[in-house]
Amino acid sequence: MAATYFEPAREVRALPVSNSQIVLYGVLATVTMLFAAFASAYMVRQGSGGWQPVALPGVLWLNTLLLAGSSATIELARRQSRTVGGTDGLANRARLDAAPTRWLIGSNLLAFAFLAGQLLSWQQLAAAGIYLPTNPHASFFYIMTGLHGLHLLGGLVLLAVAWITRRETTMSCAATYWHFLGLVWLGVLALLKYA
Amino acid sequence: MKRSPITALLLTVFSLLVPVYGYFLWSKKILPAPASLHGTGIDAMIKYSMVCTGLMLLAGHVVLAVFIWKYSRQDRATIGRVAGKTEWRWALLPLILMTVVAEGGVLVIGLPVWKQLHVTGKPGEAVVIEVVAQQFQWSFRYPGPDGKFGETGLKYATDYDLIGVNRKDPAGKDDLVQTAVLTVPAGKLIHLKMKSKDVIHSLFLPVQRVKQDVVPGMVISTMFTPTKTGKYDILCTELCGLGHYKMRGVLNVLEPAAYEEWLKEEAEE
Amino acid sequence: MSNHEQHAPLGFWRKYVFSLDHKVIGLQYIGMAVVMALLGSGLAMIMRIQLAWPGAKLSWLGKLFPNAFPEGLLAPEHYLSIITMHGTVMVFFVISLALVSGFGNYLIPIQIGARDMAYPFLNALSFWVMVPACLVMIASFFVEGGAAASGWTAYPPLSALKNAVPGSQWGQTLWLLAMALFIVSFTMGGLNYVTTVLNLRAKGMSLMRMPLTIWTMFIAAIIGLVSFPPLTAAAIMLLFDRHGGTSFFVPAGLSIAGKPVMHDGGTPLLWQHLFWFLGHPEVYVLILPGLGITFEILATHARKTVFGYKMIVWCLIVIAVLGCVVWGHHMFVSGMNPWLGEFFTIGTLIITIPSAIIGLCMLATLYGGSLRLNAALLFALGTLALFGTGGFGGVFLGNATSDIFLHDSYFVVGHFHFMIGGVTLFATLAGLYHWFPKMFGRHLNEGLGKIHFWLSILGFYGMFLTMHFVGINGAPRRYYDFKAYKMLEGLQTYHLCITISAFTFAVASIIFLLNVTWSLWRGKKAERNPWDATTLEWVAPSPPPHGNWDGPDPVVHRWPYDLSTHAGAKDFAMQTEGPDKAPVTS
Ligand code: HEM
Ligand SMILES: [Cu+2]
Ligand SMILES: [Cu+2]
Repeated sequence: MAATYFEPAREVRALPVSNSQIVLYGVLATVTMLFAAFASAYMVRQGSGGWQPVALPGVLWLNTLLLAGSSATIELARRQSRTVGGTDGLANRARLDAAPTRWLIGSNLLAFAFLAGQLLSWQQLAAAGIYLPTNPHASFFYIMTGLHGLHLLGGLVLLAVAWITRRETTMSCAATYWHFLGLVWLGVLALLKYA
Repeated sequence: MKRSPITALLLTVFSLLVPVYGYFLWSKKILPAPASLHGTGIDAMIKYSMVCTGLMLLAGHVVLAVFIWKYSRQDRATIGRVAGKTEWRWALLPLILMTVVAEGGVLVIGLPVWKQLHVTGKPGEAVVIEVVAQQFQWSFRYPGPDGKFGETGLKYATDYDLIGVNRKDPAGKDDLVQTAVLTVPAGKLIHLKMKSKDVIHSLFLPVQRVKQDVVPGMVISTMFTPTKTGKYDILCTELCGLGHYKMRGVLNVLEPAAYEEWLKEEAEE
Repeated sequence: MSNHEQHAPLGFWRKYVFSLDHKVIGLQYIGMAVVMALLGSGLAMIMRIQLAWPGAKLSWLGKLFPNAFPEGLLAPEHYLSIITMHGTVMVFFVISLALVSGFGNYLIPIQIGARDMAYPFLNALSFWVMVPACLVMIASFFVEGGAAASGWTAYPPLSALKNAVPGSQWGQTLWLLAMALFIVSFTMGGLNYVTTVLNLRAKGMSLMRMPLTIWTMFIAAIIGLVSFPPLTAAAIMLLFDRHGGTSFFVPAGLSIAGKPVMHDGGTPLLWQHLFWFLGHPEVYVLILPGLGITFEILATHARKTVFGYKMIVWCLIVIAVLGCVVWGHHMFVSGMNPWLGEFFTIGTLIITIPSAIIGLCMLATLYGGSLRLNAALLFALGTLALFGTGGFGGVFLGNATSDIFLHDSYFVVGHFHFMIGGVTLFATLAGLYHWFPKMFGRHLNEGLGKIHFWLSILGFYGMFLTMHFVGINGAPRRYYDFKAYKMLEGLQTYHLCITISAFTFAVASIIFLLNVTWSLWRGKKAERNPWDATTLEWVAPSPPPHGNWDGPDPVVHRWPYDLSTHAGAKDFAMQTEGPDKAPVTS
């Protein structure tokens, strides 16, 4: 049979995603796996001894609202940002032009409020005499909320970078990451509350 | 092109020697034949895999040797790329072989043996013995004439009773606790209920082909029927700390009558 | 992109130490792996001495480390620390570092026609996180209680309770921290690999024209990205069990040496599930790049096209997917539900099919070729043979029924050394012989290379094939000595044989290191394409400058294995060659 190896070179960059989007989705995949591992550990652990459900502080609902607000404002910031410059082959070199500073500040403040609210929930639990080692449900609560908070802090750094560099891609990655962390939070909350 | 005839010769010989060395090792059996009912099944599984993979290993090395010998002597490749279809057709060979050898072996030989080990017989049929592992000692408990195990606790443990049976508990009064030696009757189904006091251990009766991890926080069952009387080694096969390598026990298989006698004697003491 | 504006000449520090060049970073990884390999193999030799001559006194070691080896005697607690550190160091800090991080960094951009990684800074950062990971791991030898001693699998409660074994004091904590750093570094590297392979390919380099090395690195990176997070989760929980008083893995009612343990209701099997969810895919992370490199070298030095390229790619993908759902085959006797065990058996044995197809493709690649038996090909042939023999061991261990007897025996030790020790190590060495001329512009010495090969392969079979049979005769792994068991006395000759083989292997490795040192300065100079290879790195100068190609960006016109298809003086066509080099039909 005729083996035709030769074909004219063609442009192969058919992927519609930019470098930073690939990295972003990669990060989302690993973070998903991390929380999925905790979730399955949670269910396995629930099946063995010493499990006493802890009443979760009510402030978590307020926090959920704050995080949703933060997600919404960052989305507004993304939508309202106009960009100059375009894509240059691989790298999207577009810059944020009219900076949606208002929404970004709003989003940041809401995120900080969320983190403060999370700390408050820890304090309330501690005040009720429930600490990390008190029982497994509490352990999962502290560790999972803590990890989620750490990931949110990472997102704040990303947001700061977006603000300083005014890169459009960073901005939109930060926004996607934000929504993702919102979803993770809903998952964590549902798990801790209802599972 | 530079030739390396000596290397080619050495390689050819070497690849033929690998299966020979494998066969040599396999023929030097040091472990005694199995002395339990399911043990022969396990050995059959291992032998089946050994024969099948051994033959494949031999065939593979012969082909490799021929290729090396032949194709290191030609100056230019004589075969180019082959059609995709031909390639897929060749893939059927490993596909069928591995399906038969690996999956076939499991379904035909493996599963029934696995079942023997894990499906509990009717209650009362088996001799139930509790196994308690701790760093670095095995303890064995027999329920006594009442057939019930009594309560245990750390505070009741003594040098002679590492398990710590509460002798005030009616069910525990007649419990018999042994350290390091597991005495069982031949020809009866033995049901071991295993617990650990500290870390993970694993009970290994090599000659009976029994191995089961003993996990703290769980009660794990394993079953076997010894077929030959005699004294055998018990080993630990899950890393459990400094004394892991000398966590030795003894399996003492007696004739059923001798076993009953032994039980009576021990109860009197 | 013009290389001149981006790749201006740099000073020594920026060029060789804090470099952003993917090739320098790759070589840094390989260099670090060599250092860690010296540690890992040194530990292995100590174990082998102990097992061949139990209770032997090594006065030189006693003088060197008077605390660890009083009078040169190896204590059981140090034996356990040594196996743990040997396993961890070899898996994560030697093989993974050399093969996945080292060759991956060196080869990915240059074989797909990119001038560097997508994120050079992230790449350098990933290396500089790996350095403290190694240092923390090494430091754990010197803390109270010594290095971790619960095996590279770190099963709790042994690893969770500080008084269960001396190594579970600070050593285990440092072990966990070092692993966390490793995971962070690997994740950064993996994200970079995936992005680079997806987005930075040269014009004409379609996915199905990528060298198999790239395919395997790409798949390995993805497997790593999804399977490491569960280990991270497990490590966090274990750290809290150790230092935060939680009870994820430690059940209630335990006592160590008569002292009650203050934990409540955890489950040790949870760790095993999470650990092996990483642990099994991890062996594919190591072995797949080894197979990719082997194909590359078999094809080039046998002057033959790779047999079944497309099939191989599909097999790799199938292995990767199935590899992530069969972790339970490490837990057949762990107390897991036995019927779940049968499910894992069936799944595991399905993997033997694509693996066997890959083995067949390797063999068929040689068929009709013209073998140039140089050191690179010798090691690649060795890899092929080890992959076969090691794979057959897997048929025994993947089957729950035979695994009852073989689990945690020396059969396992023999098997995984064939696979994650042998296939990977031989592929790494084959790769070094093959790419050394590209990396440093000089050849390794062929004569020494052949001696290296023969001593290595003899030593290797002597060690690990023998170990299979020590295991099948009942010898458990992780034993300090076997003196307590009369039944195992007959095996002592074999232990001696293994140790002598280990020394042979060690001598071979020393010869190799000498060869490398000598060749770096005195080796025969290499041209651009000394092997008549086809892939893009051979278009670049040897060694390639920062930015890889001295000319314009390469453009790809054909698949990577256009060998043995051309009449005339030249029997191959490089990927960049245009239509004037038309293929001959076969
Ligand atoms: C240099 C040659 C090598 C020798 C002589 C050697 C020898 C050994 C020995 C004697 C053991 C301990 C067996 C026991 O007591 O249970 C062991 C364990 C191990 N080795 Fe090697 N090995 C070598 C290379 C490698 C390589 C290249 C790897 C790469 C993956 C590796 C990975 C491991 C692992 C994962 C363990 C298990 C540790 C544990 O039980 O936790 N070894 N090796
Ligand atoms: Cu043990
Ligand atoms: Cu596995």
